[in-house]
Amino acid sequence: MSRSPRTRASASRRDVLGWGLALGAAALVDPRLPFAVAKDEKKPKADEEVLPGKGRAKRLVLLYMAGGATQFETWAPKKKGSPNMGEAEPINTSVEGIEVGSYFPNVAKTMDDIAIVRSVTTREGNHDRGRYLMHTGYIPNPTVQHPGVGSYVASEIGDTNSVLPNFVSIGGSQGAGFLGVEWDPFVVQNPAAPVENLQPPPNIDKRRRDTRLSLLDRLNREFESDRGDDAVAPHRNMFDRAKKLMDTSKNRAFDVTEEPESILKLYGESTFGKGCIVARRLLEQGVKVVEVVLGGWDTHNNEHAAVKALSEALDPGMSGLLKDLRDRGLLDETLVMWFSEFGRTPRVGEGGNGPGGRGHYPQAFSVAFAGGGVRGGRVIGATDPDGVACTERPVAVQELHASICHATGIDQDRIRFAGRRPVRIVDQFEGTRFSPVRELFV
Amino acid sequence: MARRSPPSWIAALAFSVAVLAVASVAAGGRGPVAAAAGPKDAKAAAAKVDELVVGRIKAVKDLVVAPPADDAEYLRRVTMDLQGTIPTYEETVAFLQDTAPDKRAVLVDRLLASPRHADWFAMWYGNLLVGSSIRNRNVDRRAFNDWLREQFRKNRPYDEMVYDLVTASGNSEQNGALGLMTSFETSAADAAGKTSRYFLGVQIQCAQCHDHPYDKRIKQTDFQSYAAFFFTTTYRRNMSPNNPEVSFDVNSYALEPVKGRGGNEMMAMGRGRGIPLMLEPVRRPADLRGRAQPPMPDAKFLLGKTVKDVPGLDRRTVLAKWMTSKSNEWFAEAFANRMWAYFMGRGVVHPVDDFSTSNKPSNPELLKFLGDELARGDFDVNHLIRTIVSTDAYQRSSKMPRGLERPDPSLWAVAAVKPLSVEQSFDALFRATGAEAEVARRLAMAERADGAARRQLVDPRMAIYQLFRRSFDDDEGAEEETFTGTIPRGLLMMNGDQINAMMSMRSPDSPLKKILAESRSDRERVRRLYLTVLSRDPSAGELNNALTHVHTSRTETEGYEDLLWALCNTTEFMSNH
Repeated sequence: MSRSPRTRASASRRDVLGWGLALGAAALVDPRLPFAVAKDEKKPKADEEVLPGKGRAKRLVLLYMAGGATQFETWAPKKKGSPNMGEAEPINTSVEGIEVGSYFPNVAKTMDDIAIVRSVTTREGNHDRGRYLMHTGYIPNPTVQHPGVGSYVASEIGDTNSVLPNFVSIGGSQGAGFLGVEWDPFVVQNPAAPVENLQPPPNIDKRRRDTRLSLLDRLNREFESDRGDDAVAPHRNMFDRAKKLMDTSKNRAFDVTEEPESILKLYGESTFGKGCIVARRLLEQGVKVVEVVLGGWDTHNNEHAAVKALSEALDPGMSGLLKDLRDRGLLDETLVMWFSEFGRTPRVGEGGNGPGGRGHYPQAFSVAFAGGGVRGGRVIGATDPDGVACTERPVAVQELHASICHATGIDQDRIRFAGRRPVRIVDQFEGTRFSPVRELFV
Repeated sequence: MARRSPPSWIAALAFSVAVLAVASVAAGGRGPVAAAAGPKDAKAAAAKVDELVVGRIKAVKDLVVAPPADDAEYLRRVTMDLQGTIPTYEETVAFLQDTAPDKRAVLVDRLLASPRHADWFAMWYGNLLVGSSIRNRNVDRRAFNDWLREQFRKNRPYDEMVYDLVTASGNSEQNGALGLMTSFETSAADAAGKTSRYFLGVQIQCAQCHDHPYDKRIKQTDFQSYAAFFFTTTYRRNMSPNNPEVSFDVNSYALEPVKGRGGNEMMAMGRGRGIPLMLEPVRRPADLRGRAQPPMPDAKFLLGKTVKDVPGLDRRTVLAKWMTSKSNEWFAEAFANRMWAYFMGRGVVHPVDDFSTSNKPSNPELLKFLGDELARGDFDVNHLIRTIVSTDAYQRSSKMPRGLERPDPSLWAVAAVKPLSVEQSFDALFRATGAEAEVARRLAMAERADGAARRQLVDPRMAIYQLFRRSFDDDEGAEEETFTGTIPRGLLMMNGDQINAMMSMRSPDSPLKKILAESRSDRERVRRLYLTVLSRDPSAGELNNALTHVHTSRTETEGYEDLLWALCNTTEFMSNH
């Protein structure tokens, strides 16, 4: 069932194959670009240019569910009593006709802000490969490390002079790959604890630290002048950037204890909830991308109990974040994406899984968006009554990435180089250029 | 002033090593080790290499070549390259005082013969093949490192070593050589992409989805028919409720013609023997259980001929024989290029793993000579190393005369400035701060530990680096071109408890204690500290700088601790140059 006003029943990849060929401008500019790639260059249709919401999002929040999160108990519940629903039930949301899983009472109330894509489909059923694909939009390849979405978005819209990192990950993420360490996430393991090594040890006061750094600067001088700047600059920048982060009062954004009780309550008392609070605090200080990770979704056994427990963190955390961003007037310019590496099998307790458990299922699963120009209160795509296959509007990973690019105003066709290899921000897989999921924005 | 005792990095270390403690394992490997070939003339080979290098330098107008490296520069560089750490203070002083004319050659022989060399090369090569993450649960890094260490210790010929890696079968606990095969799990695409990349220097992975974009010779079908060498290999993860320890079985099957179905099929495949390596990412085990298999696709050597399956001979063996044969130029040249790039900072083909028609060697005669020399010497790895480190090119200074631009790195007119790996950084830091004594005690303890925690699949030495690795960026497979430096690394070096404990005068093995006790003058103390950390004497200017710092410090202790900290964080210390 789709509530999108312009859902195409079974849109085919052929829709995008018909685009005219045009010699990419990049080919004329960069001599490294081989002709073989240039002649296949496909440009977007004119109507993509007028798709609403382009560049509306100034910031990005990624809510990543590590382990492969179920779609049935969350975004795509089946009929009550369906054997594929396990112990969960569908519940109504603030938007008439849209149901979510019964573990989402608070998320259900913010449905007006959320667009669910129920028909994401990939072929990667392995955790590492799925995580890589969902984060980078590329199939893993041993010879290229593609940047994750957090890194490539930060590199496109970030501020290189920022004292705070442009991309913060709470719980770890895909790195910047060939974009280089500058765009790697600054990883915080525990949002409830102080940032690791941000505070100097008790015997190194500020004066002593600065003595050390200025001594270091003097000791470096001879070596560096004899060896050229290219080789040594990143090493020196490392201390500059670390010192800036120590000294800026903006680093208080990492400190969740400054929040009032009401906010802590709104987001829930979980680590994930605190991560969402830190995410909002960082965005307010100019950080461009924050990823918050919630692990534990690999529910091969007793999914009911596991998802219930996870939802006790997720439901208030995510709904609290959306509400708080809306209250502060930030939601419209903040794109929020909820995703995992794949979904779970329709049948419960079968195929080598324990009692009440589900296996890995990349064929048909859900991703949710909110804010940043995305039209909420709608569902895109559908699966059959058993949740086995996508019956409407199958969505490829590349379309999700194209959508993120659209919302954040990034040119998805821009080419960066991994060594000598030209790599687009969004892959043109097997000659197909993927466009944004227009139902998210129209 | 608050000081922590005992230094907390030691506590952290003790914990991690205790958790990951493992018993020693017999190295796997198979087949007798060929006796090292007779003495080869590294000096003559080095002279020929220099002739080829200088040939191209002379072709560039007005190019200024860097002066020869002095003894201190050479000692530090070659020790870092061959042992992954800095020389000790005693080694440095002895080498600088040595007046023997052949002392550099003697030094290289001593370094190559030391256990540290095998340790370091095992770590370096292992990281190259399967990545540096200890979280790679599919590889028994302990067994793999043990196996690699043994290969480098014995100076096993490179062709035999690769033959073992590519053909390895059996159980991962018994056969350390399985480290590479187990890293592929069931992906024939990984097996094809990585073996061709590491051992042939060709990135055929590019042809997985389409014809190779830069090498018109390589078609998509070539990738598939190369990957077909791995289709007759099976992979199985062994884990049972009674035995939570994990091991892996990798086996190969010979193909037999099957009556009535046409084509070859893999007999005995399926039930209970593991999952065959495949190209398709999504596996459907149901198809593998007893049902008819589609005909096995033919295997074909890269840009070579199609292989006729012989009953009784499995395809990986056929591949390994072709791959490591002396007539396969790719094989020798890929390794010669990798070693040249490792020591010289830039491959003759650059990037190292990217031999293709559109990425030509910068000096084809040099590449050919290095490859031929390796093959002629029966793939004697140490002969190749001796040849390279004996060249004038390797023995140049990394300093350029002031005001001159650094020439094109593929001319090797000046020595490269190379970033250190995580392992090199910390082994150097452990040595400079005396902490390696404690590391060695912990490692010895881990060696003695019982097998209870054996199958954590982690080498205890790697567990130590893991404490720090989180603060570093070290993407597996990424070729480091410049110094990497993340904010967490900067924060760790400035504020980390472990780091500050190592810099403290109270650290049990701190060199500062000895230096302050034994040396009377600050001048002598600064000099000793320079020799300990940077393996060289300070210049007059540096000496004055350091003395001013010491004399203006709040206390003597603080002054020397800060000097130690600063020296250990210089770009000079954190690079090989």
